[in-house]
Amino acid sequence: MKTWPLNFRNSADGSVLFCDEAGGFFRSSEAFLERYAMGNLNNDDTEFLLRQGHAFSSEGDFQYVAFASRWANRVTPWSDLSYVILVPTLRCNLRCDYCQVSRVTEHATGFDWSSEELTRVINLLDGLKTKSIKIEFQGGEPLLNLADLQKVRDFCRSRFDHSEFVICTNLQSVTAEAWAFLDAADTHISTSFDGSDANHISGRTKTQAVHDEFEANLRNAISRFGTERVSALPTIDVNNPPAPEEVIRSYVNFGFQSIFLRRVNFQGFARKAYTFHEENQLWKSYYRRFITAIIAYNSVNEYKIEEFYLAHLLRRIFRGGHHNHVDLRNPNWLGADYLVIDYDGRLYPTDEARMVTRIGKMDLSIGSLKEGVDNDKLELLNAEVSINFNPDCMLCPYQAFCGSDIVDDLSRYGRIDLPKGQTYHCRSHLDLFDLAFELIYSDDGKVKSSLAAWLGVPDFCSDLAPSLS
Amino acid sequence: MATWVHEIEIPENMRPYADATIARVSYLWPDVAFEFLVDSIKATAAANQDLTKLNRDLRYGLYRAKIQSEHKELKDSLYRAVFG
Repeated sequence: MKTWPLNFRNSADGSVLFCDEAGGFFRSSEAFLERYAMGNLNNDDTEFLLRQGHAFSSEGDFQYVAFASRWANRVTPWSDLSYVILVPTLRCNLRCDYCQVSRVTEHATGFDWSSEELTRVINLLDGLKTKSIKIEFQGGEPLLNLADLQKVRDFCRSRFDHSEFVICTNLQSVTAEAWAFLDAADTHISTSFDGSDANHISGRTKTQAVHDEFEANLRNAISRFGTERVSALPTIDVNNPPAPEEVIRSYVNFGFQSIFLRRVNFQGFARKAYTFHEENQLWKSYYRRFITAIIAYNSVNEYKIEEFYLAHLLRRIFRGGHHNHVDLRNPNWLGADYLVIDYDGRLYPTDEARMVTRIGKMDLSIGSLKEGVDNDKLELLNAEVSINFNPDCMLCPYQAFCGSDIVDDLSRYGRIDLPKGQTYHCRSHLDLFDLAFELIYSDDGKVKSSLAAWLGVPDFCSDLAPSLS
Repeated sequence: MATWVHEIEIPENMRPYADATIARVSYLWPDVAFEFLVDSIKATAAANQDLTKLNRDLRYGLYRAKIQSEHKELKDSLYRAVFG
């Protein structure tokens, strides 16, 4: 019998977690670790490892091929461009404290696509190989440039077999024409609601009257389109966070089942107005309180809710093939299936890269509509997007579920070769995966009930959390 | 300046992995100098260190280096099986 390499990590309860590179895992002890590392496995060990898919008898047998298949399913395949973030304007009708990009006032000129840029956007879309396209309109406030949104959407509908549109709007001021535009079944709304009226007013709307306008628009959107087509996420200032219970109550009242808890983003201009030291510990503590509150809520309510990112991590732990969330995948190819086009025609590999560039930290643009993609720069960036051969990641038990974020590394440290364990991305994901595995191995029935709901299974049975004594 | 010295004996079958282990723990413990001395690893620092944690990191480092080394061929076969 041959065992696939196992990475390991101590758990808070004194046990040791083992994971293989195809995402198989189990909990055991220091005694097993020593037997495994020193080549002294006993019969119970080998029987367990074979049964759980961590070992095989001979190369090419069923267990070997099954492992190879699971491993391959963890690798994000290279695919053609099919997800485009478009920024038709930087103009905005709000002035949020933690605006991520360089928004300008509603009536400023020179911050929308020119007619030439719009033509180039259409030409770029026309040249794509994909038959299915997802367009996300960002801003500024994209509804302030409704005419360009309409032109792009009309073109995509005629050009692609399937097209889907997401409008990232503050829903602050929605005209009758905008409502008519949003009415289409292929068009979704993504907005922000900071979890409590007080926090939303403090960070975004500033006055009760402006806030009432937003809230009326959000309620109208949900009643017209349902939560299948409307989503919201809160931005949390860790120094002044809303109570988790209040966020949950507010989101449930709107009818939302999923809450994507996001902290004020370091990448953009917020770094100038907010302090970020000690923030990691504060955030970790708040996030854990939030998850505890969700589990408590779910234990007494039929209508189960989730924190999106933790639920996403759990889905990645239990199943391969979850490659659609571009913030966490491996390899996280840049400029491949996903691209950002700014109001001035500059191209970026991610929206965070656009933010980093806008604040003048470093130029992470990868070309322009006019001049095309800068392939040399893209190749440089893509050299470090896999974690399979990184000296830290290749020893990490969470490797199969994790991914890289070199834009975050560049933004914070100005380099991509810092030992991963010293990066914010690594430390925060270690905390998140530690939490996920704490929940997976919890004996608490309330936790199991929430896990079942998040994973879409009837019961979270003990077979899903294997242990070897 | 006071010098803190600690020596951990390395079993014979783990000695081939001592160099790789030192390379890794050296960056995890930047204030400590490590040296392989035939049958042990010697750690030297200017101030006292957390001995329990250091011993564990050295032991885990040896385990990890051995696991990686022994499975290199197997990982190569996996890449061939998947990517051709």
